[in-house]
Amino acid sequence: MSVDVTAEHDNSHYYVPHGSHWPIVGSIGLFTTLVGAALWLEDISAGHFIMPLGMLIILLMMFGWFGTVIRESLSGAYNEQVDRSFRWGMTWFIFSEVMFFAAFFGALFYARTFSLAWLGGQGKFLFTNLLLWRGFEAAWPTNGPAGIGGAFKAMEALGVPALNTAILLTSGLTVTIAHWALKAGNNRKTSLFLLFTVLLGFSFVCLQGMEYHHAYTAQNLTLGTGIYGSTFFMLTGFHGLHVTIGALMLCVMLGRSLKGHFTPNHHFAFEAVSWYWHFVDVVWLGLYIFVYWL
Amino acid sequence: MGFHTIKNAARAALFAALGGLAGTAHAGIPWNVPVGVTPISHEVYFIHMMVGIVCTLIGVVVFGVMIIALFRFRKSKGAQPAHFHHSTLLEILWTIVPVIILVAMAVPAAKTLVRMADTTDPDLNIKITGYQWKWQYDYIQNGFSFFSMLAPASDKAAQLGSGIDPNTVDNYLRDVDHPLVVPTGEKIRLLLTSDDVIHSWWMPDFGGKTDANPGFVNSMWIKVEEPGVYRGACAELCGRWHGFMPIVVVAKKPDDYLAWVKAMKAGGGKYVSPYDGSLEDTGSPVVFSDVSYNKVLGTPAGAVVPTGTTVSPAMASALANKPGSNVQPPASTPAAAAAQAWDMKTAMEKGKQVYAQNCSSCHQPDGKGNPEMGAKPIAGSPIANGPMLAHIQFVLKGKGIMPAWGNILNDTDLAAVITFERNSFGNHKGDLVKPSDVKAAR
Amino acid sequence: MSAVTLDHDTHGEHHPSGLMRWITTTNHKDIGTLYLLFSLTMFFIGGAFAMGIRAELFKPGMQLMDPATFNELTTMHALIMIFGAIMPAFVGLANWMIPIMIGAPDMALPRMNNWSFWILPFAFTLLIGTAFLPGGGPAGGWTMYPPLMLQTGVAFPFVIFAVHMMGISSVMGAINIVVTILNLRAPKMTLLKMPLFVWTWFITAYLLIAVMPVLAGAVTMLLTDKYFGTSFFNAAGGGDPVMYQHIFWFFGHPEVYIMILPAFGIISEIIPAFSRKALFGYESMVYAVASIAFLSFIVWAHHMFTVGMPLAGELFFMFTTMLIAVPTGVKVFNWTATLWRGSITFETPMLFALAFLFLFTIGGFSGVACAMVPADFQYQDSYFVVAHFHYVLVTGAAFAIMAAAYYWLPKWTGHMYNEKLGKLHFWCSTIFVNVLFFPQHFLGMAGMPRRIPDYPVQFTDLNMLSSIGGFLFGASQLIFLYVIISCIRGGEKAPAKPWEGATGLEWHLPSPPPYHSWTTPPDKEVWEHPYRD
Ligand code: HEA
Ligand code: HEA
Ligand code: CUA
Ligand SMILES: [Cu+2]
Repeated sequence: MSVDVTAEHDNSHYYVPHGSHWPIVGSIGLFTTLVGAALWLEDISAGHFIMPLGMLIILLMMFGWFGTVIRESLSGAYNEQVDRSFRWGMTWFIFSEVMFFAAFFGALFYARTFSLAWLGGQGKFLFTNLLLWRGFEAAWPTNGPAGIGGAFKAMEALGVPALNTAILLTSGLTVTIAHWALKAGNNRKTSLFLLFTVLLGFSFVCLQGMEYHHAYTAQNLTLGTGIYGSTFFMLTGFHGLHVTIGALMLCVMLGRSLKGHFTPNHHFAFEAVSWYWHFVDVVWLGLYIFVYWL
Repeated sequence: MGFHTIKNAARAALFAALGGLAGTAHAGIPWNVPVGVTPISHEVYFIHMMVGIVCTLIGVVVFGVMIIALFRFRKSKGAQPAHFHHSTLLEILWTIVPVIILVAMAVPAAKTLVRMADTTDPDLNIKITGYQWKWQYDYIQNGFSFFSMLAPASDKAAQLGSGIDPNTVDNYLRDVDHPLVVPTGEKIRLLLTSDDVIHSWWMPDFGGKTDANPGFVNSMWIKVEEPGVYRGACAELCGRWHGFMPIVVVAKKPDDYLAWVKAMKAGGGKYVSPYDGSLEDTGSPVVFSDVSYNKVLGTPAGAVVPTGTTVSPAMASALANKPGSNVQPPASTPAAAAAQAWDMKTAMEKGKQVYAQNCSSCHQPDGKGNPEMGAKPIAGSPIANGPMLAHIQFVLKGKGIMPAWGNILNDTDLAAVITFERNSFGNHKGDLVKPSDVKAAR
Repeated sequence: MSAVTLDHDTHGEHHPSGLMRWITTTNHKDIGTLYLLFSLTMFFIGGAFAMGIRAELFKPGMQLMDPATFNELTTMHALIMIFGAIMPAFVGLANWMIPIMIGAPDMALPRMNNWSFWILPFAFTLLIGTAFLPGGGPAGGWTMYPPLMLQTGVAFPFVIFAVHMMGISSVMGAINIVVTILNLRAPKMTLLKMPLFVWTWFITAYLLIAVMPVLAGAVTMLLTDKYFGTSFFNAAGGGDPVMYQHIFWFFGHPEVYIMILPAFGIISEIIPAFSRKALFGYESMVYAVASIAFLSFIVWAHHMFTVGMPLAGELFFMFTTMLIAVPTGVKVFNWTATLWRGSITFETPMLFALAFLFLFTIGGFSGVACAMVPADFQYQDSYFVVAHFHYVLVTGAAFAIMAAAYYWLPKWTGHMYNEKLGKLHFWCSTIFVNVLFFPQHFLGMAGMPRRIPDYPVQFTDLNMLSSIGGFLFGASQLIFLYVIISCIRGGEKAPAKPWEGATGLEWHLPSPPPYHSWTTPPDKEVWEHPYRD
């Protein structure tokens, strides 16, 4: 029973694509972007155009690569086993993202429970306080014993963040409704609820932007506001970046849904994006609790 | 005569045996961890030898079995393969036995660790601050401090292509200009911190090392049993000259130690050599009490500074001594020092000092820079001869390999060093940078 | 037993030829080859840096370079060896062997597989390129501790981004391996029927997915501390330089097991093959690897015993660290029991595997010594630690990779390698590696710190010995290079199964295997192990 593994329409075999030039384009793009960014950081002006150039190349790669995958998928090359590979792949990718956030959450917890207490002279670190930071009392939020960044006002849990929580939770719901509709074969409803989700996602990003603006202008709270500012902006910033990426991916899904790419039992891309969206949602809950609230 | 005594006897016997093995260490051949001269170093030595011997014994057994197998079960000798592939009994056995061995080793290790961690109730506190690339020893209770760096002879020989054979240099890379001096028989708490990057204060004869982290104060304790000269080194990579910041401790009998302290205080600001019992004046500077407790990485203006000139109750109790030793509060503080008048002479003097400590390793003592590293010359530099504000901002923010000194030095030091740069190495701007200028430029 | 034979590749006409074939390939064997060749190149570059280190340390006094250059050599040596030589070598082996060993046509996500590889040459161009920037390359050690690392010059952002790229590559590679193993096994091959090499990689891939992003986070914080005014590692702002060490070692410790678990897998394939006897205690081997992986997440601070952790922390990390000796011991004992009453022959792969058995165990012993906190107050940051990790990394990881290369070269190339030269390579390497690293234990115990370009004169003799061992060990690797090249270019034709006692699916395909490894999943009878139940 020797069958051609690459026969494009044979569903009993695992699809193995032939060569692709997109990965190398991606590598060149990544390399260019990062070299550009590094030059920029070092105040070398060439970076100002090298970095955008690299990002363009990456964008090109994404269009090309995803386009190929979509074409292959529509042509029916992917059997159930391939679909499963994609699912596992996405799952573990999201897990790796979770670990990336874990590093920053870890920094937050460590700084709050250990560094701060020690700077305040707790336990064996009495002399840290006495000899170096006399008069400093450990209390969160803080910008450290030297008050780096100057006096500031911390974030409140109520107000915009609470609204944002509601927005993200709702968007989790709308994307789920879209999924149900998709499984029921109701393409219009899917598109409609995807649209809601996208809108909610972008409103989140806008509100977050306003919040940042307020922090910088009215609260004297910046990335440079000691450990509080560092953890606050890095955590919420990376989260905001993920929301933006997620919302863009949802847009693509909306487009594909309108084009009728998805069928009730064949819509991996949609599911992947919705998982991603739920992941972003869950990270936000962690943020809301540990960054804004406690 | 209980279990305890037997254990102690066994321990003593082991010690004796190990002492024999370690004999070479004393004979000067570098082969083993030294037994050392503090109670902790003896215990550390014991743990080290214990784990070494236990592992060797396990190795003998495990490797023995492997070697036997390799000889007995060769195909060339006609060995036929057996068909077994597991044995629950064996597998349980070789899980349990290592556990037992490990627990047996963990118990004494934990006990030693508990004793090492007990830094309370010392007779003397000495604050040690690491710098790139020297140590500062601050006798906080006596109110004086001094720097200790690689001895000039070693320094000269260690330069690339110096042409000097290290074997001809006394204590090559193990000698410093100003050793730390401590009394024997007293519990001394070392308070370790750093002014820039992480260093680690390692004295093998005292049983180990502790890191000196910027912004935090670590502690370790020693009780030196024998007078002598002990040598160690910085153990944490701290940049270019990490390999060149040795540690030398001279331990003296309490009376001799007190005499040295007295001589130091009377020395009129000169470091007094502790060697040979003769307390001779070496003519090097000692800083009296001008210890800036706040000079840590990233302390900008407006940082919390110690207030008042007396020791707070918390400090006093933390430094609490056993009766008989002399507690002395720091005589003055940076706040007091900052109140001093700021004139060209003060700024230039201080600036010279700051330059030597921070800038000269790259820009060179002669201000000519080091092109190989990418360090620009100060002499004739457009920045040092340009507008003052631009110069201040450049130093504050850094660029490329030039660090952002704004995070490292305080306003006073920066004002001083910038003034110095603008008026040295052939630069004659003649202007005086004030700490307030620096503060404003931040 | 139905042998699956596919004699030729039916799709030759689809492949671009020449360089483009290698750049665009999605074939697991091509990509495996790329990884292996890349790793070999990096091994030589990293090794050349090590030769620079050993040359400067040959005698006291500064002879060859500025201390800053020396620190650069040390830093680059380690980064290149770890991320450029050892890890890609294991990924290359995984690419080549895992699909074959589990009866799959290829890796699960072939295009992404290509990308995982092709990021690496760019990442290392970025890293090695920094050496030519003004101010030189990174010189803060491979651990990149702040605040020292923040003093790096123009090279700084390039190094950080290079690390990011290596991370992306590793995570994608690891995801691919996990998915392939989960999804592409031959029918009825349950997890506990997989070969051990596959098992160890399965667990390693999880470690990678879990910790590479944490490294990315740590270096990102370095980046923002330097350029964007954050205070993660600055006490004045409420941060802590030691916090970096915690985050780094949360990655770093699992990382060192990432470099040894696949080695365990390789040894578990080779020892049974040349003992002509089933692996002893297959299941306990799997459980041992899983326990090591689990424990690796709760021991990280054993690299930081001298940073001034509270007593409770020191005790906790001491106990967990010591515990790792138990599952590792189980593995060593199982291998020994596999040898016992076997029918042993000593071809080159077996010789390297046996050297691993002895020398890795020695490295493990010095690891346990380091785990004893009071003693570690002496060992930490001394040459004792350097000796420890080179025993586990060079005579552990690198020797296992060499064993694997000899074991599978006939399969990859279709030619037998030159056994005489292989044995010569083995004996030279094994003798000289001990001359190189054994004296370093004593240097460390006697008080020589690591990462120093010059040392007090009483350390001269042992350093000279170590350097001589180093040069000879380095030169011995030229034999390896020669053997590999000549084996690729020709030699005695290799049969499908050149090793009498070998078991496993790879030996059921011809040497070299067809372009698509298993177009039809192999039957149970083919892969079922005769002695395993
Ligand atoms: C492949 C990589 C690898 C491996 C497998 C290991 C394995 C181990 N390592 Fe190692 N380690 C490194 C790579 C590795 N290490 C590196 C790179 C560093 C330095 C990083 C840096 O600072 O740059 C380091 C540093 C390091 C330190 C820090 C030292 C210091 O800086 O002060 C410690 C401390 O505990 C340690 C411990 C251990 C232990 C307990 C094991 C155990 O897993 C070993 C277990 C194995 C055995 C014990 C042998 C077999 C067992 C038996 C035969 C059973 C019976 C044995 C007993 C009962 C003892 N390692
Ligand atoms: C991951 C694996 C790995 C490998 C394989 C090696 C391999 C080697 N290592 Fe490395 N090493 C590390 C990982 C590794 N190392 C790490 C993590 C550190 C810590 C860094 C730090 O402190 O930050 C370190 C640090 C380190 C030091 C301490 C430096 C210091 O503290 O300043 C030394 C010193 O001797 C050393 C030596 C060697 C040598 C001689 C080899 C040899 O095995 C290399 C042999 C290979 C070759 C030589 C290449 C082949 C041959 C040629 C290129 C031909 C030319 C030959 C000649 C000129 C003879 N290494
Ligand atoms: Cu100071 Cu190393
Ligand atoms: Cu470790």
